Amino acid sequence: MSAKDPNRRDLLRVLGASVGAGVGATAGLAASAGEAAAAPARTRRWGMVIDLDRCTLCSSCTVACKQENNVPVVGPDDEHVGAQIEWLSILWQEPEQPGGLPQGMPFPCQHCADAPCVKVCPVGATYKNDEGITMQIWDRCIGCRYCMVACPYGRRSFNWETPRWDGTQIQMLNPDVATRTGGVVEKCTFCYQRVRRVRERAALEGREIEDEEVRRLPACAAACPAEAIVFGDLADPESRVSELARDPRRFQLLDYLGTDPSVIYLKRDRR
Amino acid sequence: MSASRRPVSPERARGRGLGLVCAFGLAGACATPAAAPPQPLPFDHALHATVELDDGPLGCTTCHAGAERGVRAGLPALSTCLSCHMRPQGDPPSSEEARVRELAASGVPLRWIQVTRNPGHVYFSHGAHVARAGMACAECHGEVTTWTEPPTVPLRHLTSMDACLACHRARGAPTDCVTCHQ
Repeated sequence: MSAKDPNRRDLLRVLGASVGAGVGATAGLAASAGEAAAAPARTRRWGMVIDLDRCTLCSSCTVACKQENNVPVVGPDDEHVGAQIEWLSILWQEPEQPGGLPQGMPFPCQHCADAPCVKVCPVGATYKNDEGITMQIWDRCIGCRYCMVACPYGRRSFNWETPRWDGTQIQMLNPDVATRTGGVVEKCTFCYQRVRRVRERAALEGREIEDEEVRRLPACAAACPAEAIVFGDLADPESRVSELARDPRRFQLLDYLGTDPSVIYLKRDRR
Repeated sequence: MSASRRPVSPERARGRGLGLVCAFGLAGACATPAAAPPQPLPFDHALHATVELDDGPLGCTTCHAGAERGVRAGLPALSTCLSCHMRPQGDPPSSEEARVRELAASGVPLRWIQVTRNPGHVYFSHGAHVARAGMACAECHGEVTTWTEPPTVPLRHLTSMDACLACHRARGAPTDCVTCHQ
C-alpha cells in the first residue's frame, strides 16, 4: 500500500547510508554521518486521536479553533454559498435510525503522511515539515486552489476576500497567528504556534518535550470537556496518543486512499 | 467579517496579490527618512553602557528584561529607570533625570515608541537566540552601546529574511518555514 511509502523511503535512505559507511570502511564515519543527519534528537510525528465514544458533539473544539487561529466568521450569506473558512468543523452524519441521536465527528486537517495537497502546490506554499505537520505558508500562497481540489477531505478553505476585523475584534486577535489576506488558502496547523512555544520552553529548560505537556496542546484538545481529543507524538510508542492509536476501535478517514492521516479516530461503540 | 463579499476569480485574486507586492516594493524604494518619533525620554545608550552597578556593569538585560529568556526583549517601564534614578545620579544632575522624576510624579506611564517591528507573520524569540544559541546582543543589534539617542528609523537588517537565513544556514539552525513564520 502506498501508505507505506514513506517508511520504504526511510528504509532506502538507511540502506544508502550504510552502503556509504561500507565504502568509508570506518565505523566512526558512519557515526558522524548519522549525527549530522539527525540534528534534531529524533523524528517526531505529531498526531491526534479523536475518541468518538467520548465526543459529545458539543462543538467547543470548533469555537476554540476559530478563536485561537483568527479564523474569520463569514456570515450566513457566504456560508450558504460554501465560502466559509473551516479549519475544524463537525462532520455531521445522518442518525442511524430516523429520529435517532445526531452522529458526527470533529474534523480537522488530517495531516496526511502522504499529503495530496503538498504534491500539487505549484509554489511550495504547502509542505510537510519534518515533524509531520502539513504546513501552509500564507504569504507564499498564490490562491490557485489546486490543493483544495486535491485534498480528499476538503479541509482547506479559500479567503474570497480579506477579512475585515472591526473595533474590539482586532484586540481579540491572537498575536501568535498571522491573519490571512484575500486570495490565500488556509488550513489547520495543529496549532503550531503552541508546539513552538512548548519546544522553546523545553529547550530553555534543557529537556525534551514531555508527553503530558502536549496531550491537550492544540486549542481544540484544550477546549474539549470530554478529553476526546488527544495530541502527541505518534513516533513515540510510549506517548498517550500512540497508546490510544493502538486501540482496536481505530480507523482513519478514507484510509483506502493511502494518505495515512495523522488524525486517528476511535469508533463510537456506545449507542 | 465583511458586510458584502463577492467571489473573486483566482486570476483576480492573484492580480491583487501582485498589485500589493508592487505597492509595497515601491513604498519601500521611495520611502523618505521619517522624522524622529517623539520618544518620552532622550535615552542615551552610550552613557548607560558605561555605568557600573554594585554587582557589575549595567547590561542590556537590566532594562530589556525579556531579551535573555523571553520572546520579546521589552522596553523598560518607568519603575526600572527609577530603581536607579530615585536618587540623583551624576554631578550635576541632568535635565533627563529631572524629566524621569517629573514623569513619575505625574503618574503617566512611560510609552516608548518601538521603531523596529517584525511583521505580523514573523515569529522571533529573543530567548531562542540568546539563552539557547548563546548569541550576544551585538551580533544582531550592532553598536547599540555607542548610540547617544534612541533610534529614529527602523533597523532594516533586523527584519531582513536574507540576514536571518544567512545566519541560520551558517550555523545549521533550522530553516523550516514555520520556525520563524506564523
